[in-house]
Amino acid sequence: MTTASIHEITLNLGPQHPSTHGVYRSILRLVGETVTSAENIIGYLHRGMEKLAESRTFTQFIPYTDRIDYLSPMICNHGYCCAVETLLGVEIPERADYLRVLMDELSRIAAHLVFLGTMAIDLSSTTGWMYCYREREKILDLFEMVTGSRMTVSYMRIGGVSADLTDEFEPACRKFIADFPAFIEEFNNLLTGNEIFLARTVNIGALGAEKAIAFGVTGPNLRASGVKFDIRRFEPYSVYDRFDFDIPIRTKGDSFDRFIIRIDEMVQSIRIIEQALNGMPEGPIMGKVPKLLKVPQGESYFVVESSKGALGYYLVSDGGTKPYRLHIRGPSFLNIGVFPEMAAGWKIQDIIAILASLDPVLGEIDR
Amino acid sequence: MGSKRLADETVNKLLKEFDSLRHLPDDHITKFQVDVGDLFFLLESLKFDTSCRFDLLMDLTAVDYTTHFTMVYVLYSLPLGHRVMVKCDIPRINANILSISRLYAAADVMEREAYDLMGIDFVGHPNLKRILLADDFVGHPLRKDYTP
Repeated sequence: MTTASIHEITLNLGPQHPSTHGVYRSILRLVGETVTSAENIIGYLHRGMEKLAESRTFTQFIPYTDRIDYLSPMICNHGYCCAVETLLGVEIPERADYLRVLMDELSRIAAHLVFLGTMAIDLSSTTGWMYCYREREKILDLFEMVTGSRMTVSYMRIGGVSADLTDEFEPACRKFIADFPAFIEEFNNLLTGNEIFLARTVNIGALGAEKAIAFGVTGPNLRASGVKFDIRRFEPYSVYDRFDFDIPIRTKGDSFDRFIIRIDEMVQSIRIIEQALNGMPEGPIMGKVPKLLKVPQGESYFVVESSKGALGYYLVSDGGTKPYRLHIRGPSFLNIGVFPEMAAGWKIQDIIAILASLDPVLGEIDR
Repeated sequence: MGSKRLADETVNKLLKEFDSLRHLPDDHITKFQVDVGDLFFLLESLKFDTSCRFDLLMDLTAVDYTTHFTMVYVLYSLPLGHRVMVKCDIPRINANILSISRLYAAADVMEREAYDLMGIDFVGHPNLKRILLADDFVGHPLRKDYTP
């Protein structure tokens, strides 16, 4: 009588590995090539942002928000400024709101391009990665024209934005949105219809809507599972209620759906950018805010739709010049929380696709 | 700017159901304060009551007010589109509260974060250990009296 013995082996993935998109680490238990369980190990990029906020003035904390989700710094700026403004009760000039939306959407496209590119390279398509980074470069150039910085922009201020558009911005931005459909077509021809890519993503790592909601998954990952939830539409902030855009939905929630939904979202972002440019009102870009900012005692909770999901700021002020407490809800922190559930049962090459499709950004997970 | 508020009749129904529940005034969000004994049952009602249906745990965090901790829960209802904030004070010494990870799977990582940074014990949590800081880290940095 013979019995086959099953050897379980433990494999360490990360924290220094290209496919973990930063310093994310996972301890995988394998039987053969099949993952039986995965454990998230995070915190390698923990900078103590929430603690730092307590010893910085409200304005001084803005540059730190660039580094929460460093792939879409504009949106992180926006949420923080709105949280402070809600407590402060200041009016934002209309032009500043339009500029914020414009920059948010450019940031969203840039972040989605990084997603598409890194997912491509994780699945061995180096060319796909190059094409995405080429397009993203154009957005970073646009940011540089206005803010002087490419990634850590610190563009928004409490009460408005720091700089108006430069003369060169609008033609460059219009050229970018005019060229973008051709890029999407090119990228779809290159990767989306690729048989190998499809084989590695379609029906891989399906996440059901119920489980996604239970684990607090938001953003494109949730919408890929068929749940129509977008803060920009359901709790409109800034001037998002003035723009005409669709919320793309997919139903299967597999790795391919999470991939393709980002392409759909970029198309919608382009629509918003176009409308924002066309409808851009004249006027000041900063509201009336005192130089030394004292925020009235109280608390506010503000959520914005970042490129990864619902980015929330919980701000408590004791009436002083510094936040008494600032809590940041990083959407990736929850999106990655469901990963062990999704990974179990899949082969090791599949979990690379699943992890890539969740679009984790470690700045936001570890904060 | 609009988070949709909870309907008045639902608020009144909840106020009747829970003796310790108080409705806090706020211009932007429906906000409740509740005693620690009622918290779990309140969240259970908020999740399963047909007029509430809060299925998404948006946020879970804690604030150190030096005299006590305040737990903060933010819930969102995907089917009904409204949002609510629930606050609950707990003593600072031997701070503990019932884990809600049985109600919301998302609470698992959020409670670990609150335990790690604020040092609150979540009773009934399946895997309460540090999440952002190293396992051998001493202290809980978000406490106001923390010194490195």
